[in-house]
Amino acid sequence: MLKKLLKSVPFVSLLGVPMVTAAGCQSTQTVDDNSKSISVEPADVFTVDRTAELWVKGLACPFCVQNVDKRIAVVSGVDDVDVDLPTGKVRVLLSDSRPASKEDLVSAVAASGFTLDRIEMP
Amino acid sequence: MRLGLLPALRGALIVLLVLGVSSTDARAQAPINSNVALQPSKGGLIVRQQFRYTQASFSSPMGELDIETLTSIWTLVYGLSERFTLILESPLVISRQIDNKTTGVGSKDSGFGDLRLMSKLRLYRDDFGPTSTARFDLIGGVELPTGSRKFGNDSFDPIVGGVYSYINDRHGFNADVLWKFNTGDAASNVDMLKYDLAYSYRLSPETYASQNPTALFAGLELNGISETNDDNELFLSPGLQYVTQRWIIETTIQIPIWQSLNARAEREYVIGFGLRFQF
Repeated sequence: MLKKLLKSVPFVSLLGVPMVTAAGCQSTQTVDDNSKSISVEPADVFTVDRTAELWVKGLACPFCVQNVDKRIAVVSGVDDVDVDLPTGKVRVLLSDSRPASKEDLVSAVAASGFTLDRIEMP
Repeated sequence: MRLGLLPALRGALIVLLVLGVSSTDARAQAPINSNVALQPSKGGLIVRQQFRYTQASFSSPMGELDIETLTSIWTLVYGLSERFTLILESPLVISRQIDNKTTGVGSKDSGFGDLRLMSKLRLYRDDFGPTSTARFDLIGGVELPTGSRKFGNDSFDPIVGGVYSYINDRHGFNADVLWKFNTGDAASNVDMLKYDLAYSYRLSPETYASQNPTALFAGLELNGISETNDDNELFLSPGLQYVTQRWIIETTIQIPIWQSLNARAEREYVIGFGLRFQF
């Protein structure tokens, strides 16, 4: 029913606008011309051979996550950062060409004002 | 019709409006009216906007005064290093309505209060778990004579103190003490001790989500002031905070549980609402 309504709206069926769920959130499905659902769930970019793992302590709340995230993201040789608040685990995707060094990552955590428990480089 | 103010009364109202503002902190898991020993990272910037509505009364030789005040407070917090933070706080009295209940005469005015330039230096940090920490910061700064005549002092007033925070996952405890030296002329030369005790509890979630974590905190604070003219006030302040990675929305009400006042107007309650943004 919802798909029919969406397809009746000009441009929606043409552009494959993401569907909106009853909860108001975007789903990971698109409506194509044949009304088939195609998953666009992004693959995990943190591949083992390029990902450093850090364990950080002292993240008192969600606001703290951005402090760590931002400090590491600006390090040269870092492509992506993911902070898991409940465990303090930080995954850092390193560049292919000139990856950030262990010392760079240790300094970034220090500048964020939190304690680095341990670090594992790929 | 304007309400003429005696110099002594004017001093009392300035104290009420400008010095009774909330904490200079802008961090999360931070109480709304107290300080916290958390700081932004190096180069981190936090902007906080608070609105405060105060209902107060004052018995003067001119009659019983009823005072309603709406104040806006901008706070900028910048991390110079991971352990040293600069804080600039600018209070603006959007509206102050004074009604003399005895004579029926009233007046309304507005203006800037004194800027505060503060700093925090971390002396102690023990991060003992992924979401747990204990920290102590020294606080120091000065209140600058930049406000309008009605809402500011004419002196550079140093402020010194300290704050201790203990956060263990869902529970947060904060305690701070600040002393403000009033270097103004004898008529308004009253030093102030500000002290706070605060507890916050993460209502939800029980365990943080891994992606885009958010949280709802409930807080209960004791906010006190004691002045060298023997004026004393202690407030009980419940509050709520919703915290995301980039912004916080919060509200509080401050209710007096002990007041012993001579020069200062008697606050009946204060309602606060605020937002914080992290850049």
